[in-house]
Amino acid sequence: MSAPDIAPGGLLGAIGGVPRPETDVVVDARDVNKWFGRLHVLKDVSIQVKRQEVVVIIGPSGSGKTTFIRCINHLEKIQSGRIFVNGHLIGYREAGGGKKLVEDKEKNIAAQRQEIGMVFQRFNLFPHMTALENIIEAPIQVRGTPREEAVVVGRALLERVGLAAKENVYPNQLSCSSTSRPPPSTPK
Amino acid sequence: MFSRLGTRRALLAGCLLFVAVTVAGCSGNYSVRPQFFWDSLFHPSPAIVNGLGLTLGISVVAQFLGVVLGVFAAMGKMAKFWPFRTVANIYIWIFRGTPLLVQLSFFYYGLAAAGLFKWPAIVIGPVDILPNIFAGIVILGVNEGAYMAEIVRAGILSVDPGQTEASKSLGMTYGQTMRRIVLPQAARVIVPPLGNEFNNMLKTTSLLTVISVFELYNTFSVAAGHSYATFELMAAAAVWYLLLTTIWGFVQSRIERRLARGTATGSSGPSGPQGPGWRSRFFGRSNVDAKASGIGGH
Repeated sequence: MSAPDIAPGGLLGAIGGVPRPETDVVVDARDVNKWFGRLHVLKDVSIQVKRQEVVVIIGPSGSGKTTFIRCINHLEKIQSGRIFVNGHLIGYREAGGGKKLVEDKEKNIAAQRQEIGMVFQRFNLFPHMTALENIIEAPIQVRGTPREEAVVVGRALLERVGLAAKENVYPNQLSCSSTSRPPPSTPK
Repeated sequence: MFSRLGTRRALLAGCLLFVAVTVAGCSGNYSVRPQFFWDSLFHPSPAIVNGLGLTLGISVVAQFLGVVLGVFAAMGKMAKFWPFRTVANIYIWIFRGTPLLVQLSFFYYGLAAAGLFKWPAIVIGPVDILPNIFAGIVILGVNEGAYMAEIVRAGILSVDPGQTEASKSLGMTYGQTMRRIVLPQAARVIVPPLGNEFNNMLKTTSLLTVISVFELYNTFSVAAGHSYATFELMAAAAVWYLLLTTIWGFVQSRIERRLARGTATGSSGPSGPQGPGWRSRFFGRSNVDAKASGIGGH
């Protein structure tokens, strides 16, 4: 098996589902508002990210960059607005004629998250699994990829980042820069 | 951990106590018949072997049941859905808040007396389980589950929330996250107190005497009743229990070392130090302790 195909748009470009044909917009946030208690973190945030675009969000610490990324994966609830990925409303379904947002079922949210890759600030590798096991965990458990196939893809990915020799090493034995390389949070 | 001095004092105190008890035992009309002690250790009767097997078997099955119930009760206690929390809380409240002896009497004799429930005999393949043994296993397990719930909960809470988020972001469901990511990591925190619990369980089975289970203690107790060799036989029973708990101590340290993979203590390579071995566990003394006590070496 050859090296796996990774869509040119990077992680977000690899999102499946049915894209809306008329636009090339992959991530579409509209008037997103987020409060932590009384702290208003995201104020009417709107952004459109097109296919193959690489977007960098810059700002001082505490300005909500991470919070916004977490909202796209529905790791944080939003209080108003809508976030679409490939035309799918993330984390919620509309009720009352599109006026109200109701949180979606856990199963549906899990299915949406399969399609969205994310690397955490502290990486959050699984410490009880080796580098290779970290990579193949999600494809096997979530996608139902056969183990042998996942291992082939996983090895190819490790090779790409120069960690081929480290496949049986646990995360806390890897050097600091190496820990950022296994892409555990990208299901395939 | 005991310092060297502490160990010596403890040994001395133990020896003095033994002598005192022996002397007390020998005074009056009681004459010690050592063959009762040695025979029940080195030539155990079939009844003793059977009792030993029952104690061990009941402990293992009841502890297993307790761990399973504990995992569910812990997840129930942390559930978003409030009825789960209520059920888990009430379960833990009742079984941690009442004596095991009362639970045994109530669920075995009480329910039968009121005509509500009679424990059935269970047949699993070639094994016949008497009603009182079945009841004993279930009640011990359910009681244990209430204690395990808190231990498991502590273990789950000890896992970095980032692990749950990473699993979620990969599209794992709650069940997958728990089974594959959180519980295996929680196990490292759960196993040391679990070892304590099982050690307790081995000894607590002796309470099943109250529902006439002929486990180790009851067997010795009956033999003592027949022979009046209470001193020798109870000492022998103590030695059997001590043997069980000691062997378990070795097993536990092995399990802990295996679970340490991927952590600071477990990852220093196959030849590196891998957590406390049975020697340091048994004698409770490391180099650091020896230095701290000021009496290093011979």
